[in-house]
Amino acid sequence: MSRSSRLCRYVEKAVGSSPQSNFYTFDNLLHELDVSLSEEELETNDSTRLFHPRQRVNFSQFKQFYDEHYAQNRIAALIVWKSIRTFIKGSIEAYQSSSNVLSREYFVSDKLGKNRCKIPLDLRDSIYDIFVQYQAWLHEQRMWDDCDRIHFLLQRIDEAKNTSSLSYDKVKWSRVYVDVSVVLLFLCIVSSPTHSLTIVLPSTYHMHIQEVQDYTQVEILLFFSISGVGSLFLAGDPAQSVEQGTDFRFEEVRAVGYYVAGNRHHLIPDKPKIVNINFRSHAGILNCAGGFLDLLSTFLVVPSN
Amino acid sequence: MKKDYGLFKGARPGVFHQVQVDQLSSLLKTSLQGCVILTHDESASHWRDELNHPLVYGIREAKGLEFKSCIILNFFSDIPSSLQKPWRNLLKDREGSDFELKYPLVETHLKLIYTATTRCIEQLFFAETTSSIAGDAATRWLTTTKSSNDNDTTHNTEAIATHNNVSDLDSMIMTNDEWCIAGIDNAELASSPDVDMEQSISYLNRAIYCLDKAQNSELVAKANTHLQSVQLRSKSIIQDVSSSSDKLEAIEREVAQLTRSLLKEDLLSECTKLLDYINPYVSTYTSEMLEEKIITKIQQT
Repeated sequence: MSRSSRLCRYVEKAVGSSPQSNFYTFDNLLHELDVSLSEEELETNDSTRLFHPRQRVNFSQFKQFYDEHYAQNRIAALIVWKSIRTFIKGSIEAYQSSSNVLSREYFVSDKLGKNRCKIPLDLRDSIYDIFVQYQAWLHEQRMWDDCDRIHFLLQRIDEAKNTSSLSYDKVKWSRVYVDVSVVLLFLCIVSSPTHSLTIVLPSTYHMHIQEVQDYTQVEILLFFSISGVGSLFLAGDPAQSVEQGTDFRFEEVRAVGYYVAGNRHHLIPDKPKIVNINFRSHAGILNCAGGFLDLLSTFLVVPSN
Repeated sequence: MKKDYGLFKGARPGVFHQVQVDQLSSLLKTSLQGCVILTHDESASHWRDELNHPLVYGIREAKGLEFKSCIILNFFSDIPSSLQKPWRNLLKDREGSDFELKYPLVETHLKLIYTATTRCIEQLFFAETTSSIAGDAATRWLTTTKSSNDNDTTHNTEAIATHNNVSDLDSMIMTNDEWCIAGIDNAELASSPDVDMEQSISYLNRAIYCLDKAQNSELVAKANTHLQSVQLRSKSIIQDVSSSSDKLEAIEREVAQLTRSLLKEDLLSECTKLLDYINPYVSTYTSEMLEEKIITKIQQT
């Protein structure tokens, strides 16, 4: 599974299709989960929330909102979007809170850690004010963002699991199997991740996620929720994290794994494995890519709080 | 983490600075037919139409894919105007404090250009069709910044990329390094024992053409010296010697000058061949001196 449809098609062509394999984009996976869960929910209640694509807020729409309301603000729109998407709504701590939103107290404190959240502490209160207004605007305009949709899906998967409903059986089949044949500069393998719901899942199924650097913690939690014991394989390169608003570190994948494993320590994901040989390009190209990496690491240093 | 330089050596990327759109279009229709164009995602459809080339991808769209030959087109000139100067400052190592907070999009751009660069398997070009603050700075940065290879303990004097001559369409079909490799291959073939004089001259003419496209004047000079020597050896000396001693003296002078040049260019094998060629016509004393002072030393190296 990957975000890009081209990549999906490319891997499908390289690996070859089979009745046991499905190749999904992230959007298709969400749609399939949505449909599977909705079928039974519609029979039992009418609580299903609609997430119409036209009402989705991405960074471009957020920037329009931001420019209209905060034209003079010294904080860049992308910093605010990243704060909301990665931390306030998209972090594992946000999922754990009753409102699925990180509290102001938590966000403005140093609990997120300075290596994880590079937003200076003195800006966080102002960012949270903007977030509050953004949430009100979303509600008023009947719009939604990716975090809203993921939280809603996670909630429904939990409900389906707890009631052992038929729709949960459908969800467990809605999994993707993609062989990571494309060689990546860095590779993260997370083995043995699971939580209680995976007991019902056949362990012969595997879920392979490409370009994991583009996903927030709650999106990664969704993968954990629908994959089997030891069957989640995540691969990615943080330097290719081009999804606006996602501040990715592999440590955050493990944090999700810790949450999922709970006190069953044997289920805690392994540490990431690093592949530091590129099998695709030769030294002339990699040396040039390394020059851009130098700029990325040398100039975009962690600001002191 | 230790830097990765892959499993194979290869040509550095080429840079087309201020290349004309119709030149690019011609190249894509002829010598670079399968080449993939990578642009900012918002510009991809524009360039697909403008170049009439189906293989135009937005960088986000191309993420995870790989292509044998790529041109990263107008990445720097299409950066928003408000970020042109910050980008220049970054490339000139004078970004200032709080750079990341003031210009967070630069980080996204850096990840995009890194992603674009790593899509390529063999041949990579950076092309900028117009002059821009960031584009001009990037061209300078790419063609002057010395690479920092962790594995290379020697002083590395090579830039990250090379500057292609955009006034000559032919020279744009390969990167300068690739032209250089083609030139050196031809020059080496010219020295093979199984090629005759005529073939050798032909190989050296090709070598000079390629090295000229690579804009490598030092190697052009070396190949020219080699060519002069082979051309001289290809002439029959017997007629000249029998007609006049002045002519022999002139040939000796020419051989002496060429020998000096060949030694200077480290073309030792050709130098031996040239001295063997003149040896039957020089005095015993000269012959012995050449043997002692030059040929023996060449054989010892």
